[in-house]
Amino acid sequence: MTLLLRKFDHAELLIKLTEAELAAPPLWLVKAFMPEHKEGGTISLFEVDTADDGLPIAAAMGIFKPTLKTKVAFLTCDRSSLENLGLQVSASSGDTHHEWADARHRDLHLPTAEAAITAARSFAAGDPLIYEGKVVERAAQNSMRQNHFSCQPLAGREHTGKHLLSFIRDQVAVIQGVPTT
Amino acid sequence: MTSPDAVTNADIVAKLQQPLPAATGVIDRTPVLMRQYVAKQPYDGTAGITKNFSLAAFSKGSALTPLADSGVANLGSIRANGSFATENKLAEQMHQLETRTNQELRRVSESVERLARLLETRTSEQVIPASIRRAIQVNRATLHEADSDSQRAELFNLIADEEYGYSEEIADVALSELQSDSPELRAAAARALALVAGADALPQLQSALNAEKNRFTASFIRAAIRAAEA
Repeated sequence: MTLLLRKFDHAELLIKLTEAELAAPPLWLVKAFMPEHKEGGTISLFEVDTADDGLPIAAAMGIFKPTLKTKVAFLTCDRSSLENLGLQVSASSGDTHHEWADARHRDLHLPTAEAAITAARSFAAGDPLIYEGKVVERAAQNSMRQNHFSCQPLAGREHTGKHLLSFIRDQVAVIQGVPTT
Repeated sequence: MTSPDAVTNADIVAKLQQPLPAATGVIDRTPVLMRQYVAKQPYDGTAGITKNFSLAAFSKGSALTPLADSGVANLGSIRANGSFATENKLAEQMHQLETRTNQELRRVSESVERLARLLETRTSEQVIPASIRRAIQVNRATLHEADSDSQRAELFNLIADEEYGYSEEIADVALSELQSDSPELRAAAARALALVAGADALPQLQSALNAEKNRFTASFIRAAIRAAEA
């Protein structure tokens, strides 16, 4: 039994919802499961064995947020229960440039609005996985030291922010033991 | 006989139906003024409201509490129908609403002010992040909102997001809010407690997790425990 993780930026909003409201998810929750047109009717997930494996995924995702100190949150769902509802999960290559995370990237196929609502309802029934910014930062630093990130492609991404380039530079310096300016 | 320069009821209604400007946190005195006016001015059934009162009372345009908003709207409708006696009663009701709102605001303001004072008494070498300052200003300015638990949760979340740093005073406030009836506030307090008190808060956070019934709040407390351990 494996766990699927879907990044979700508004976990604190879920606290206010009753179980009845979660069973009929609000529009803002369903929208998180609506594929962008460019995604070809799929949304991006990660598959892990247990909740304890969520941290490297958070590190991989956290590196693309405005600051590494921003918390990362996932909604979770058991893969088998999702497939039992008729939804299809397939393997696909991730583009976080984190070797371990990219190997666990999955596509969830959501060809209809009903499928998106089913997915939203299933993920809303799970317990979120949340990682505070300092935890994400340390996990990302550890991943960098263990060479799990491919720094060259990260630095070459068109929308790589200044914080990311600075982080990569600093981490490379830490690994190489040279002082940063 | 109607004064030639008297403002008609229709003018008053039109002004009441104009959108109110953004709230400034100041309780508008309009309901009290209306009550005073109503008590002094007999209604002759034909005259419109005098220009001085109407413009003085309604041209202030400053914040009316959300509770009073509906009263003002109702007043406009009642005035359009010319019922002065009902207008008197409504003004009285609006005064009661204002009193209750003031009491709630005092309760909220005491809590937010206490937290704001804690944040502002840090030593000079400990810089308060600009976003925390903005949050203090925003929360002081929006004290008319009745949802005080959400306000406190917002401030705690901001403290946690900014990694404010060790503060025994803030930890003390956050610790007390772990017992709040609001699941949102419990989650935010756990976040702030972990990030200002660190590992010292682990026993309290673990106890809070053991007692937590809301699964989303529990997720935030688990995250807080991870952060406290880091």
